[in-house]
Amino acid sequence: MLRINLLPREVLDRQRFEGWYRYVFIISIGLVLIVLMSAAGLYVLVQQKSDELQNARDLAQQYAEQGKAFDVFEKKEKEFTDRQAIAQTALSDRMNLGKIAEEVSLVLPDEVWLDSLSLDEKAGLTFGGNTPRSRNEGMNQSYKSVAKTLVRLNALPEVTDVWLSNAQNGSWGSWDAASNITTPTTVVQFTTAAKIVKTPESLSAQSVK
Amino acid sequence: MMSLSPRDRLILTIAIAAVVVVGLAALLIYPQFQELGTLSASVSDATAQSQAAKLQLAERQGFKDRAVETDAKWLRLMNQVPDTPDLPSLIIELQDLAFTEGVQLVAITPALPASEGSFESVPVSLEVIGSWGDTVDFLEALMKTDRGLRITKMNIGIANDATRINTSLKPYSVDTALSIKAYMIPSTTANAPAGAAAPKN
Repeated sequence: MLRINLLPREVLDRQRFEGWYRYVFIISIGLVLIVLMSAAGLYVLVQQKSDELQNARDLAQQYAEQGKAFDVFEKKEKEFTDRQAIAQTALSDRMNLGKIAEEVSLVLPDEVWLDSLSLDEKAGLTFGGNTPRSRNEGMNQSYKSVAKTLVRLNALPEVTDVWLSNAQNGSWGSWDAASNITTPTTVVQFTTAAKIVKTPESLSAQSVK
Repeated sequence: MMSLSPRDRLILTIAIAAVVVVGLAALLIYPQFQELGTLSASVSDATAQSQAAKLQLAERQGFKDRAVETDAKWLRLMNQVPDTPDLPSLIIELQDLAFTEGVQLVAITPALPASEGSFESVPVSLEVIGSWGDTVDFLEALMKTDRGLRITKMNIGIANDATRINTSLKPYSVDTALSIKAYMIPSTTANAPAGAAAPKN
């Protein structure tokens, strides 16, 4: 049987395209639903992030407040550290002049004694020494004691540039404690100058506490 | 109104639907994404701040835990380098030291404090008389006192008879003139522990 569609072309077209509206509607509704659901999901995420942000800020504030309560301890320790550094500067490189004086006395030859000893952190060391001199000039060897003193002083690590300022014959009043009588003795009197340098041994071991 | 063909009407409908969907997405989703990005950045910042605050708290907790030790060090430091000339303590300490080492303290002459930058020094002239050994011990002990001292100059000579008689010391005593410096750090704040630099005796 032969079927012939006698409807006009416009009607046929309308029928054919009207069938698509259903799909367009369903797809549109579907897409709208997807958009709405995505928006809802994102809203939840945004809320979670907001809560997370608030928690983080609360925590930071809590730590900051607790920290602020302990601020006084930090300030005190910092002030102590600053003060300690200043004290360290003030007391650094102190020379133990007493130790140097003792070392000088220990290296002096037995036949040499001092009238005076001066030690200055900047000016260095000077001393006036004496050594006995024989009344018989033909046997006099006293100046060798002066030389020996210079050599021994030079051996001290804290003492450099040892220089004899002067040495001459003279007399020295020898005082006897028992009789309280001073007897003149013939001596060679000499004065010596030297520089003192800072060595680990000459610096005071005591540090800032 | 211009009549559209069924095909065009369908296309127009699809276009309107697409515009609606895109419009909805633009209105509802895009701002949320933007806010989410902003919030994420803020959360990162806040977390970093929180971590920094936590670290600072831990550090300050350490300062607090060491507070007793710091106070003790403060006291020692204030004895060593006080914030005032604190002459009474210095005199007492020198007198005690001379007594302990067996030398006679003949004279103490302090001068006014002089500024040396961030600290001040108090020059003090001392004269002691004693045996050589006691004098050397005294000089060495000066470097170990609670008060930080520096010997800048010293002149050692033989004590004359008159001095020996006055001080009733043994024969062969030496007379030592010393220039020493005591130090002080003028305090800019008043939070030093109470009782610091008080005389010990």
